[in-house]
Amino acid sequence: MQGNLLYLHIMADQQDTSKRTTSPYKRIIPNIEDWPIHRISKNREQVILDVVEETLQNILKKNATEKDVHNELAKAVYLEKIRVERPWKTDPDDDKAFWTDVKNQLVKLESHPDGKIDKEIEILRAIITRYVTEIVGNFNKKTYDFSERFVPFAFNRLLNASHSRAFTRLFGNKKDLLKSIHLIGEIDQLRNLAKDGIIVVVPTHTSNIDSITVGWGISAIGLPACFYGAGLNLFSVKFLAYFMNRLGAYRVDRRKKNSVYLEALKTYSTQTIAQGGHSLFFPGGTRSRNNVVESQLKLGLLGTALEAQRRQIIENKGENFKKVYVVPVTLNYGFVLEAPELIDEYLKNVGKERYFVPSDKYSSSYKILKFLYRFITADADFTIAFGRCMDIFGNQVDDAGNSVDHNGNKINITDYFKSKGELKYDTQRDAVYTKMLSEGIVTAFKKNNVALPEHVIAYSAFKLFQQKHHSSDLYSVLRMPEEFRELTKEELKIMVQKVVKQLTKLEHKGEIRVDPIVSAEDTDELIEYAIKKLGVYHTKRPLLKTKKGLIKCQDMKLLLFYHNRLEGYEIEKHV
Amino acid sequence: MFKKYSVGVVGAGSFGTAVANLLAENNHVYLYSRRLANVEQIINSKISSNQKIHENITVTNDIGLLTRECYLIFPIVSSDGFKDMIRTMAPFLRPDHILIHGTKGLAVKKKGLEKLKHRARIAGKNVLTMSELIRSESVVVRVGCMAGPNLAKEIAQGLPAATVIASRFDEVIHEGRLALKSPRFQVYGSYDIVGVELAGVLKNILAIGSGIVSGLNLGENARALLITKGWAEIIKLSEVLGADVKSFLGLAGIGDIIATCSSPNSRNYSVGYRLAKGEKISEIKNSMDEVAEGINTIRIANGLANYYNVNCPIIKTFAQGIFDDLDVEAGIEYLMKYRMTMDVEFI
Repeated sequence: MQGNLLYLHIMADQQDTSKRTTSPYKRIIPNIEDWPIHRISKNREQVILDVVEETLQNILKKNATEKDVHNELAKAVYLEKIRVERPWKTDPDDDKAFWTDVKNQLVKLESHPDGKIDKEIEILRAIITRYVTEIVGNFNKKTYDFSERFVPFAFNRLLNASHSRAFTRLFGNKKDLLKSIHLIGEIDQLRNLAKDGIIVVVPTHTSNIDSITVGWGISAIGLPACFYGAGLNLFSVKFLAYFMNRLGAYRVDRRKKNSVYLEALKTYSTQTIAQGGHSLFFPGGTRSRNNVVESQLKLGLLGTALEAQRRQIIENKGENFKKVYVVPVTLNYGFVLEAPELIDEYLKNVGKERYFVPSDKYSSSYKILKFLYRFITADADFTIAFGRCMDIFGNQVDDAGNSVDHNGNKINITDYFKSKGELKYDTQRDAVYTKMLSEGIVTAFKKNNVALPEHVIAYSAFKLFQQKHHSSDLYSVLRMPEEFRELTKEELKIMVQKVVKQLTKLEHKGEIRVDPIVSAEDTDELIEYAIKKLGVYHTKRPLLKTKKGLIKCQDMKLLLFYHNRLEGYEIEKHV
Repeated sequence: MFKKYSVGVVGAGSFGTAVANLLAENNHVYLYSRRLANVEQIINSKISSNQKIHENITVTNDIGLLTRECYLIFPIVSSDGFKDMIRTMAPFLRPDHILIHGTKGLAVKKKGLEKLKHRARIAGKNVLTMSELIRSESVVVRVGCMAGPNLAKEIAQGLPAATVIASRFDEVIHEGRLALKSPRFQVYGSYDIVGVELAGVLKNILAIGSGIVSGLNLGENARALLITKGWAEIIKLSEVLGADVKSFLGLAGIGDIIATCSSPNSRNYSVGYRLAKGEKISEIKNSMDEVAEGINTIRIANGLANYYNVNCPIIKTFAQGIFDDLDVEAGIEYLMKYRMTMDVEFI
């Protein structure tokens, strides 16, 4: 089940900076001109017009009268007026003026209701156009070509820029010399199905650099570029925005929670998928604050994949339609740069999510560049694990793309859209299907989550502290005085062995993936290796060795953060 | 109004036949029985499980025919035969079939069974409700269950009653209601399928308890105490398993308890009664034709409570009394001395 394990090495080799990373995977469609994303993005103006028109119709379908539309607009304006009070850099300069103007128009209309809906529609169309113009991305072949060369080059340049590190590496452990990005999982199946089907990639989300790593991973396994929803804050970095604007990224602004915006976003996503465009979005909606693998997904964008599949079926009358395949992907880092901020936000906001205002930290070019630089130069390597493809209802698909049940029998997915033999539209049913799909993705996330050495050591240490503290209250464990935050090597070793034993069991059952270093090396080496790597670039180390040979925790919250990646497997019941 | 499509009932036991007769007032019905001899007998005698069958019912042994002709099917067989039944049907089922079951039982995965026997612990993932069994053994997703105070005998007599159909899908509730509703039978809906199923299953524990109370002549105060506090344990446990408390206050919860625990005719009640009179569980089991669901349910519920650390003294005492030969008097003493806290904690 592990699939083919592949290591792509980006070498810190002084002689060879210009050489492209060689991937053994050829592009499944050699010419970029033939890629779906290229075809669909050719005419951005037309795309915008289509999306605006359909969004408008969708909203009018749900809001038939003047009063309904008026209420919908009023709600949007209310929320937007609050948002523009705290602008982000990416927000257009005229944002405040625009919404003030809309509000004034609405107030005028309110005092003179004429029973007609025309003026409301006009305002609605203006708003939708504004949103859609912001959302819709673009795809440029030249930029893609360039970035494909540039990204590995940049990786190399950045590596070589840190001379001292490169120097120690040359004489250090060989493992450290090779900067490794691991691509594992069901890559062959994915490559096969992407030829005729439509791929929807849904990755886990813990870090701001996820958009870049997963985009790179998709290109490295030879898939055509995807449309992908990227957080608006990433566009504030000019040089990143330049690329993302031309590589199929579309803007997702999670501050905008009004239904007009959400409808526009969903309509765009539905259209691109239904037209055969491979897509990517983060179904968790936002970075996992506590680093636990996502167990609650946002259903809005997931639902667009279902709707797109229905359109494919109806347009092709149930014959030879393109099938939508959902691919769960886990992005596994032993090091998350923004971990301190994330876990802080989590602990402060437990139970108060609704009142949480997202910040646009890491929004300056400098910060993000520094961030990328640190990530690349840190020894933390990362693993991208591709799960098996499933259909839009969460069923497994075989290598030929047929949906199959638990017993391997083929399923005709058209039947899901039928009632008493006829295709029938049923929004409540679709909502349940989308929930089913999200349950399937959550299960796949857990199965494809990779237990890295860093997670194992953090998990073991945190569990030991919890046991020693005799308290189930998380906050009191976190507040443990510093002098108690020490472990002997022996006790840690026993715990690590128990944890690894349990992980191995889980791996055999296919319930998790375990990094080769965790399962192969002996415990002492594993502990050495993991402690050295865990949170190496954080100011306060989650774990480090003291002169007395003890293992000390400088930051319990960070330890909790890395520990959390192995939560949800009931390992604690066995250690 | 007569419907275009037939409705299927799988299982011609007393409840299955009663439901088939209800359905036949609105629809043509296929009633399936596993045994060919039974089918012939029903056709000849026009009687199934001591009930006269409606003229709109076609009795059949052909599961292929039933699944072809019916989009809406009610599997109503005992829980120990449920898995075989669904496996027989599975090759013929499609995602646009609707299955609404009326079986009150839990299935345990093989892996879980061992742990349950040796360590009296079982994880929720190793216990399946009947709807989960349907999902895991077939491609059907539009699954529902019907539960409530539905004593087969009274439905057969044409007395007024009501049921709950629980499903995640509006369509299932709607189609079920259309098919079942009649001037003497009311149909309610619920989205909490886990809750409704668990309420129906776990209340059998209290039916056994009610029998014990009668067998020991402990009086009505004790019966009320046992049922109320036992129910609180069941609710706490079910919440851990993902159920909504509200379901336990509805027809499938309180409604079913009132009907079952006050009726001396139920199998579970008589198991409890005979236990109280000093018979061993093995003797009782051997002397009964059909399984009393409650016995297995007690063991599973106790295993779940142990696994999830849910405090369930009543269920625990029952389990020890039935499987570990704990003395009845000692059990009562234990419970009466147990340090209880506040009365209602589950809402």
